[in-house]
Amino acid sequence: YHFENAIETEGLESNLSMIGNAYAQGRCTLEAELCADTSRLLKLQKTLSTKYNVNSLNGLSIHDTILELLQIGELKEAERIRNDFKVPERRFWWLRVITLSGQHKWEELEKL
Amino acid sequence: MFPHLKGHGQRVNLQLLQEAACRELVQLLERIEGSKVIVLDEDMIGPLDLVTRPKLFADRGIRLLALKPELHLPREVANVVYVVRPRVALMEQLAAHVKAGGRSATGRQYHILFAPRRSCLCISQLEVSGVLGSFGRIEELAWNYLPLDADVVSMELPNAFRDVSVDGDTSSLYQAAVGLVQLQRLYGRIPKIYGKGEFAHRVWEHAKQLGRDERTLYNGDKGVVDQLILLDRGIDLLSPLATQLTYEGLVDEFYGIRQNKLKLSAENFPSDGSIGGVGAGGGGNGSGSGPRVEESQSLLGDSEKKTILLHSGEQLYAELRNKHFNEVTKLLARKAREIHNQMHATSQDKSVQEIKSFVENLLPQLMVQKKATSEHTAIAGLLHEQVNAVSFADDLAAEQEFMVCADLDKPSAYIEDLIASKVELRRVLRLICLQCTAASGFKEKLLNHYKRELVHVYGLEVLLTISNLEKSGLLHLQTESRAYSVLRKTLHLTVDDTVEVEPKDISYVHSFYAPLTARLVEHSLKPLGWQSLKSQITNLPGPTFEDFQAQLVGIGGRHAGPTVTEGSLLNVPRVVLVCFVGGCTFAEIAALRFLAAQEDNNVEFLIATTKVVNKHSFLDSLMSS
Repeated sequence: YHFENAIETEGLESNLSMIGNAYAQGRCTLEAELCADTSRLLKLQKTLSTKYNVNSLNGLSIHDTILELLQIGELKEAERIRNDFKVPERRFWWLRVITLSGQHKWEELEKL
Repeated sequence: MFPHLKGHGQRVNLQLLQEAACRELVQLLERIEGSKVIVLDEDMIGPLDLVTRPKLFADRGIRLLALKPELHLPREVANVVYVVRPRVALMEQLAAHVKAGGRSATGRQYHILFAPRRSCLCISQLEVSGVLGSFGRIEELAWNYLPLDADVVSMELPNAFRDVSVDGDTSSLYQAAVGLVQLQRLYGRIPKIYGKGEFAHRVWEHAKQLGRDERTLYNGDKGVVDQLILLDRGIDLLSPLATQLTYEGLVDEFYGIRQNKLKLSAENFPSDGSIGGVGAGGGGNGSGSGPRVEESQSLLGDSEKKTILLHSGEQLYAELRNKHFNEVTKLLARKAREIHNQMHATSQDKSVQEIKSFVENLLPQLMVQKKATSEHTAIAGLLHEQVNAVSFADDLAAEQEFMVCADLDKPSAYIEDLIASKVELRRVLRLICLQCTAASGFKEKLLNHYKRELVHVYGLEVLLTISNLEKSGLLHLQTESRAYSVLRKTLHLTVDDTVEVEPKDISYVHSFYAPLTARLVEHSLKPLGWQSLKSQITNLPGPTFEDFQAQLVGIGGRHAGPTVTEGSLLNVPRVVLVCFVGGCTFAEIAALRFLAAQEDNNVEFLIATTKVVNKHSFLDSLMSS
């Protein structure tokens, strides 16, 4: 399964499904799944970017997307992503704590 | 010319190797007539520095330039000599130079010296660019092993392990073999060969093949080297990833030692003037007689950074380098006190004569010692800050947990936290790889868990890096045998009672973990060591092999009859050449030196490696795409 990596260096959105297929053929189910997730994420990022008028979401990793959403206070969207992409609780809460403390919202931090 | 290579009573004199390399270059250069300028590939500056002195070129009126995409060649020179590694990417630069400079200066000749081997790919690349005709001589500069210290030779190929295991480019193996033949030519036939690991075996197969063509090699008596141990990096991936705790290892990990040189920004050091202190004049007139090796300027130096030479020619450093870091501070303090005492002893009740002889003989030496001590104190101070950082201690603690095989099958909470806070990718991957190696492979679920975590946080590109690591065997699924946890017990890789100061066991280099490679060497020294070792290391990857090169008859090495070890009967130390295929760390070198220093071993090591690596450089070479 060596050569599908070569394609991946292109890093283009449209190539993702192809790469995913290649991984699937090479029996790398996890990698294929992650590719699918990424393309899903990219679409989501587009809609979110227009919805909230921020253009910094595109191309970020799942982790960074959630962080960005929490920064602008969109807890609901962030939680949706968490459920969609099966982000572990531990990391999600870590992110919440980070953002809240970063913004000095100590009362809310207390509530958690 | 290079006193540090000679060592103290070492039986293998590496100066021979240096001289041979230097001679070869000079011969090649002399065949080119007229004024010359040498253009150096960046990867060749260091190696050149190891075997030549700037004076060599100055005497011949040769200028040295670094290879850059845009290069201003002095107009008047008739010859341009490129000294390069055979890399195709460089050829394009060369072609561009030729095209740019070709018309302006008529009659100029271009030459290439490929080190260590000419490559057809490079030449055809030149042909494609249509400049091959402009090159006069295309020669090989057969520099395989370069002497790094009195007991270390290195090929200076930082990517050797990666090339072989990830990219499948085995040319470095061939070069290692050529180098071994070269070494035998200089130092004589090596009668006994032991080895472990697939690539090590390939190296030896090549070397045997090459040696067969050279009958003279085997006609002579047995050489200085009694034994060769070839070890594949692939059998011990834990040691290059582990944090080194020797002084030299730490310096390398934090600041990077390149070809015996350490570059630090000058502001970290008190200026030389203030060190001179009382006897600025005394230092001046003693500079000729001082025991210290004359300060060599690097071939293409830069002035903002302070360059410190680090090799066993430096008295103090030779003493410090292999010590555990905790011991170093104490040693330095003691040194400082000694010097202080000696300095001040003079001021009281001494006759004029005594003072005179002191100023003439002792003072210059003391000044040099003082300078060295203050330099190393500064470095040790810098290291201390780094070592005391919380992240260093935490990483180390996690690492040591893995080494004693604690909770290897579960995702480590510490690693998860690191991923969540998105620390440097290299740091996370190192710990994951360590866990994987210690566990001798992950369960599929765990590996997938880590992969998913990494992709979530660092993005999809991580998969490329991971696949590199998988190919190189740093990450893999669990196999039947648990090589590490078994060997940990049978070979005592981890030691319970740790002694960092004045240690009794090689495990001090990582505080309590003894590098597997060094342990193997240690065991093979015992009578019948290799035979008993063979059964224990069968679960490591790759074949275990041994071979004998007997005099005259055994050209193919078939005569595997028992050879009497004459050397061991006499009281001469055996010389063992330990060859690391794929790089070794300073900690491993320190461990071997420690073994050599033990009296009952009665052995001397010569260490050959593709490159001295550390946990950062080792991973970096694997991670880059």
